[in-house]
Amino acid sequence: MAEEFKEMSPSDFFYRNRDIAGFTNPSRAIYSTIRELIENSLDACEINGILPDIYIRVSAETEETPDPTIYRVRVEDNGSGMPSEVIPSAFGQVLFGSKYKLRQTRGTFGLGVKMAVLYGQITTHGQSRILSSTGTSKMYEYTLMMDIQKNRPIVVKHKVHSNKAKWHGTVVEFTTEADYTRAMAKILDYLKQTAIVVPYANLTFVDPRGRFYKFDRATTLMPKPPTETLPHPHGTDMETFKRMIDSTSSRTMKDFMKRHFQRVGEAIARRFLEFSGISPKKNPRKLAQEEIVKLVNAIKNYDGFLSPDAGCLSPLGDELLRTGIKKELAPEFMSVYQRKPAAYSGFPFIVEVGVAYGGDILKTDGILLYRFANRIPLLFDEASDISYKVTNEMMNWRHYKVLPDTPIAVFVHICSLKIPYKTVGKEFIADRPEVEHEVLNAMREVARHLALFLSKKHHMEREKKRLDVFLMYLPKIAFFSAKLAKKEKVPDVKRLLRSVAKYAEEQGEEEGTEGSG
Amino acid sequence: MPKSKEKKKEQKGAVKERKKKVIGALQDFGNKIYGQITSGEFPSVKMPSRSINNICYDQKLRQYILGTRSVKRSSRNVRHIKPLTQLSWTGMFVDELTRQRKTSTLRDVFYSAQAYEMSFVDQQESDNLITDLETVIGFAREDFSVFPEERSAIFGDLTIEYTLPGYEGKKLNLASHPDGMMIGPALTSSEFVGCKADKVIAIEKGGLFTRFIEERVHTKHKALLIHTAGTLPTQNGLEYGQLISSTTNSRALN
Repeated sequence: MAEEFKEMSPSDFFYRNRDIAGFTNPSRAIYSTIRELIENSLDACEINGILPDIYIRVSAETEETPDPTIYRVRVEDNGSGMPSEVIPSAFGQVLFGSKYKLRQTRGTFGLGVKMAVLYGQITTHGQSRILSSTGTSKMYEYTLMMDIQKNRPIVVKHKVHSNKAKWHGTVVEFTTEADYTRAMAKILDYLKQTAIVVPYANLTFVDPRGRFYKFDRATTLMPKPPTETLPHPHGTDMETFKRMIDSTSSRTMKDFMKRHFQRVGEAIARRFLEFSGISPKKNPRKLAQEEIVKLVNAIKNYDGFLSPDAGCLSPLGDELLRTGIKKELAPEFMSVYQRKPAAYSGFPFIVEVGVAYGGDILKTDGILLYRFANRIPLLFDEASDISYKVTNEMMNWRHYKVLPDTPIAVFVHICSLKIPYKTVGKEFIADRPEVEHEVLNAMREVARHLALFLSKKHHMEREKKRLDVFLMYLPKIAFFSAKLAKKEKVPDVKRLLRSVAKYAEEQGEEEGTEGSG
Repeated sequence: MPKSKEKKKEQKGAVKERKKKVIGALQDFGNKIYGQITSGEFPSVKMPSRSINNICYDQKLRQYILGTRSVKRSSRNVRHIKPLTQLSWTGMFVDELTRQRKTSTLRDVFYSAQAYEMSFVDQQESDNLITDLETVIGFAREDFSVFPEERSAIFGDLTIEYTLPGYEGKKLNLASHPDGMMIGPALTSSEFVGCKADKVIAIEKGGLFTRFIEERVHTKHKALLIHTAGTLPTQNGLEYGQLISSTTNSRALN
C-alpha cells in the first residue's frame, strides 16, 4: 500500500525521464519549453487579475546551422513577479508542492518550467538568466545553473537594479537545443489557440527569422481567478493522507476531518468516523498503520460525503468563449454552453462547449476540433482524446442538420482541480465516463441551437430560390403574351411578384445572427 | 373542339381559312394570358389531359380522341411556371412564323429558343411543348407551320394547286413524277383541285411503294399511294385524313 520514495533527487529523476514531461526530442522540447514558459506567465498574471502582456522570442545562437541546433529563448511577462529569495529555487530546484490545498492551475506546481531550464542546461551547458520584480523599487537579476544531482540552484551572478518605473513581471532567458523547423507549425498553432482561449491576453512572438506574430487582446474582461480549496475526501490517496497527518495541528480525528477536507462538517465527520470504526476523539498522530489503511479504504467506500465544491474553479464563461471563437474564426453562427459542475473521483470539473458555423471555417472532411484544458490548448494525440471520441463517434450530427461538408468547428474546454489527462504528457484527456457524459450533453445542447439556425438558413435559401424562379419567368410570360396578343404595352408583373415573396429580401439579409448560448 | 370535326368543317380546301383560324386561336391564347396578368391574376392555361385514362375511341370519327379531363398549368405553381413560359414563347414564335408564311421544324424550334433566352434542356422538351400548344389551341402543328424532319411521299391522280408565296396558282398532278412527290409544307398547304382516285393505300416500306408505282396500281385500282416512311407522323395523318374524306366525297371536289 504505502510506498517510500527512493532516495533520488527529483531533478535527477526528471533528468533521467525527460519524456514524461514532454521533452522527448529537440522538436518536442522547444514546443514544451515555450509552452511551459507561456503557461507560467499566464498563471502569474491571472492570479492577480493582471491583463497578460507576454513577449516571446526565439533566436538562433549560431548563424546558418541546420536544425537541430542551439537557440536562445526569451519570455517576458507583466505578471506578479517573484520576490528575490524565491527566484533561485523557482528555477533551479525541482520541488513538489508542500501545501495540501489545491487550485486550478495550468502547470503542475511550475514543474514544467524547471524541466525546460533543465533540458536547456543539459543540451547546451548554458546558464539561465532571470529578471523579476514584484513592483517594488527594486528589480532582481539572477544568473543560475542547476545542480542536478543535489537538486540545488547555483547562483552564478546576482544583481539588483533600481525599478523606477515600478514594473512588475518576470523575464526568463536561456539557451536550449531545438529543432525549430520541425516544431514551428505546432508552436504557431499553440499561440493561435492560446489567443482563442485567453482572448484577454496580448501575445507577441518573434521567430528565428525575425518574423513578427502579434495576437492582440479582444477584450479586457477576465474570468475570476481560481481559488484555493481543500481536497475532497474521495480525491485523497494514502500518501496525501499520511502527509496531512504529519503536518496537522488537529488533536482529534473529528477536528482533523473537518479541518483538512472540503465540505466536511460536524455531522458528516462524526458519521464517517463511526462508519470507519475510528473514534472521533483519537489523536491523528497516534494512528497505527492498520488504522490509517482502514481510514483510507473507508473514505473510498463512504457515500455520505457531499459532492465536490466547484466554487474554486475558474471557467471561461459564455462571453469569453464567444469572444475567443469570434476572434479566431469570425463565424456566421455560434452557440456556447457551460454545464453545471460535475465531479470525478473527488475532483470537481466544469465542461464548456462551443460550436461555430461558417465564416472563416473551411469545408474540410472532418469536424474541426479545438481542445482546451484549464485554459491551455491541447495539440497532440487528438484521436485518443475523449472529446474526439464524443465529436466523431458519439454525436449523430446528421440529426442536427450537419452534413459531411458543412463547415463547423467544435470547442471543448474542461477546467478542474486536476485535469484527467491520460498520461503525464498532458496532451489528451482520458476516457472517464463522468467526463464523457458532460462533454456529450454539452455538445448536444449547442448542436440543438445549431440545428435551429441551419434549418432556418436552409428554409430561407429555398425561399430565395423559389422567388428567383418567379423573378425570372413572370416577366417573360408577360412579354411573350403581349407580343402574341398584339398588345403594345407589356403588362406589369410586380404585383404578382410581391404576393409570391413570403420573406422580403431585406428580411433575409437581417438574418444570420448568433444564436443564444 | 376535337381535331377531326375541325377538319370536316373546312373540307373545301380552305387552307387560307384555316390559317386565319389558327392565327385567331393563337391570338386568343395570348389575350387570355395578357388579360389574366393585367387583372392581377397569375396566368394559367387549361388543356385536355393527355394521360392514358383520358384517351377514348370515338366510333363516328373512327379514331382515338382526348376525353373531357383537363389539367391546369398555373404560373403560381413553381413547377409549372417554366413550362408555361415556354408555352407562351412557343405560341409567340409560331405566330410570327405563320404570319410571315415561313415554316420551321421541331429541331429548329429547339434551336431558335436560345436566341430568345428561353433554352430548352433538349429537343424532347421542345417537342412536348409543341404538343402542348396543339392541345391548347386545338390545331395540329403543321397548321402553325411546324413540320417534322422526316418526309413521306405520295403518288396518284390528284391535282393540287399551291398556295405557297411565289407559287400561287401553279397546279401539279401528283402522278407526274414516278418516284412520288415528297410531302412537305408546300403540299400540305395546297388546295385539292381534282381527284380521280377513290381510295388511299398507305405503304410503310419504300420498296413496296416503288413496286406499286411500277405495277401501275394507281391506275389499275384508282388509288392514291402514300409512303409513310415508317410510323405515321401527324402531318401524314392529317393529309391522310383529308384524303380519305376527299376521296369518299370525290364528287364535291370535281
